[in-house]
Amino acid sequence: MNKNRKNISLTLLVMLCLALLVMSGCGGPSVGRVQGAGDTHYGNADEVETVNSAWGSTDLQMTAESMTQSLLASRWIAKAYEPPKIRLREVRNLTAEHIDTKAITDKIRVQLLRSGQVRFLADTANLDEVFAEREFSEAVTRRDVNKLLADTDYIVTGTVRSIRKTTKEVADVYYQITLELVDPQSAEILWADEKEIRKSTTTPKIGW
Amino acid sequence: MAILKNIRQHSLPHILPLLLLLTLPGAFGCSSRVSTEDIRTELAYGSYETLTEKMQAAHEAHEEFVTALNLARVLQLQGRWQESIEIYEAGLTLLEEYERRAIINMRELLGEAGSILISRGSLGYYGTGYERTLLHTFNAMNYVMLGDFSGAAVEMRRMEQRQEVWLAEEEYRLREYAEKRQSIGNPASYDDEPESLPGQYSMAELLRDPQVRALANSYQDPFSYSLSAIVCRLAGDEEYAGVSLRRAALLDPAAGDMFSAAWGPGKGVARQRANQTQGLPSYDNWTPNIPRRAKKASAATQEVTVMIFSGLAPALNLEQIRIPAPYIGYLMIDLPSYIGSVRGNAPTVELLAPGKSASAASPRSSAASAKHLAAHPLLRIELLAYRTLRDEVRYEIGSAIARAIFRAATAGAAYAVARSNDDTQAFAGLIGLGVSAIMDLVASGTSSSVRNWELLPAAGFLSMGAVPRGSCLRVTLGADEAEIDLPGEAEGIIVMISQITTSKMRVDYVAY
Repeated sequence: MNKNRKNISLTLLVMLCLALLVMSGCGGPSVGRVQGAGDTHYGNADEVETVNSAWGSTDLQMTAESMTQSLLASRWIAKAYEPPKIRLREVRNLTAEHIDTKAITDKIRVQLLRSGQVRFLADTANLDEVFAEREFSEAVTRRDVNKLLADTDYIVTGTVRSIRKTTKEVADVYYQITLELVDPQSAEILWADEKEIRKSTTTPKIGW
Repeated sequence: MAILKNIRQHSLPHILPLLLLLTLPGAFGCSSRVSTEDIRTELAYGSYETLTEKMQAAHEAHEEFVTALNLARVLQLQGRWQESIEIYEAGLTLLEEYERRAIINMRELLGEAGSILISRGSLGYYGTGYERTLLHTFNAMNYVMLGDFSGAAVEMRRMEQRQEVWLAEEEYRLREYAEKRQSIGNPASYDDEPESLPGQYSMAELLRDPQVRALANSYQDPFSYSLSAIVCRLAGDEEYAGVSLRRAALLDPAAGDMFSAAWGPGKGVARQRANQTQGLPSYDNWTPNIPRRAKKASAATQEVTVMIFSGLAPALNLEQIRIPAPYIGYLMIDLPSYIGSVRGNAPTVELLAPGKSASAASPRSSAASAKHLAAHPLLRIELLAYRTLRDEVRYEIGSAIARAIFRAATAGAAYAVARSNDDTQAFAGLIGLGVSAIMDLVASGTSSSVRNWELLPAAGFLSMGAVPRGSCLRVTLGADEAEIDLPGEAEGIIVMISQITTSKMRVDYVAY
């Protein structure tokens, strides 16, 4: 009896192990995952990124969030009779880093559009494609239709600046991102705000 | 003597294998590098493509700073701007990793120990001040040629920041050197001026050259700041353009004169220096004029900027010198020296009226009536290299003597240990000789890693001015000549000309 019981226990244990092995082994491919030898995984896009002190995804997200909230709260948008038409112009990069400032304006535009409080006209950079599409659909472009393309209520411009100080022990970088809402007819600056970011990196005392 | 005895009795069997182990990877790693001779041969008789392939293989096999710089430059010489940018960035990543290393870094300490005891080649090479500056300057030219002035301006701002790091590093090194001098207790034996250099040292005269001494420092050049002023203005950053321009003029008044003539005089230029009679203007309190860009082609003239690079920078290697030493007669020391600089040709830039280009029956015949644009030699890489060596030669001599003494002492100790043992007594001389030969082998192996950015030009010239629209520009460099018909509708044109050897002149330009 004891021997039989032992055999059954052993068989159950082996079966359990096999089942676990099969489950763990087949778990991946059954959901269609293709995995290489390296360690690649998905992360949370909103996680704070501090790989180094260079401009990164967290800076982009913080800037876009802060500027969008500020712009939406301004009376030119919040108290507008109807959603104004805005065109995003260039945000100039005056830093010592190759920052894609288009990523900043793109993110702000997405967030502003989601709010439903503004309307956007195509960027000047994208106008060529708009014209190409129009030419494709219309053999002759009418003047009044062209006027609609230029009929902007406001434009948004800005700059990104940075100050970096480095010693053997510490590297400190300060970013100042400034955006302005400008009336293209009067050139009046209706709204402006800034986002400041400071990052410091200390050098380890001992290392390989 | 007590140290020698200690080494002899206890440490030698442990120290020597360790040091050999540390330096061997350097010795064998170098085999994948493209040698200076190979570079020179390919440049003179081969093709840039072959050289690129060799360098790409070396870069992939042995990822290091100087290989990346040379590869980036050879790509640039072929007009492969985007690829060149990528390799400059790869070099920069290596440099930044080095700059971020721990304050007490074991790798560096071992390298330092190896450089003092075995060979100078044990030290990792991360460029000198001027090379780190020019990394950004030359990368900025890639962006310029792609018409991306904003990207070029970023590189010029990075150039200035890089100098800050270099200054901190140099300050640290100088402080260490001063402390060493203090600990020696006889500062008088170390002259502040390298006048007491060994007589056989081939660099001795060059390091004392008045032109080398006259440089403000070893890492700033007026060309980089002039380029910074040009590209920052084009990128719409007039404030930074003004700051750069002031720095260029302070480093070389000729740069100030050139910009004053092209962009307007600005304010605060003292027409004559108080202590000089040569009539040179002083730019100490200068507020330069940064003209706004002409958005419309209204004027009869257009801007033209010509950058000309000629020749080849000297290559760094180690030179064996025999210096007198008490008791043993002499010591063989190895000091860094620069060899094989290819002096480039001085350019002439002529301006021909529209329609007077190569189609004219005899282009040379119109030379008499042509207007000349002055080409200013604002980048003197040879001088910057010599100045760097001049600043560091005292430290180099100290390390070289320490290396020589250690090598001699180790061979001597091995001989003494062998003699004291009955089994090896008969071969003591052979053992001593063998140890000495092994150390020499390792030293010579690692010595080949003493390299610099060899593909830099020897000199860079800048020429600029307003010219009648659609003019023809004729640039002559020795026997080579190029004519460029400037596109008349453009606001301005930036021309880049490179000539390393005769018959290999490359002309590129970008209109804006």
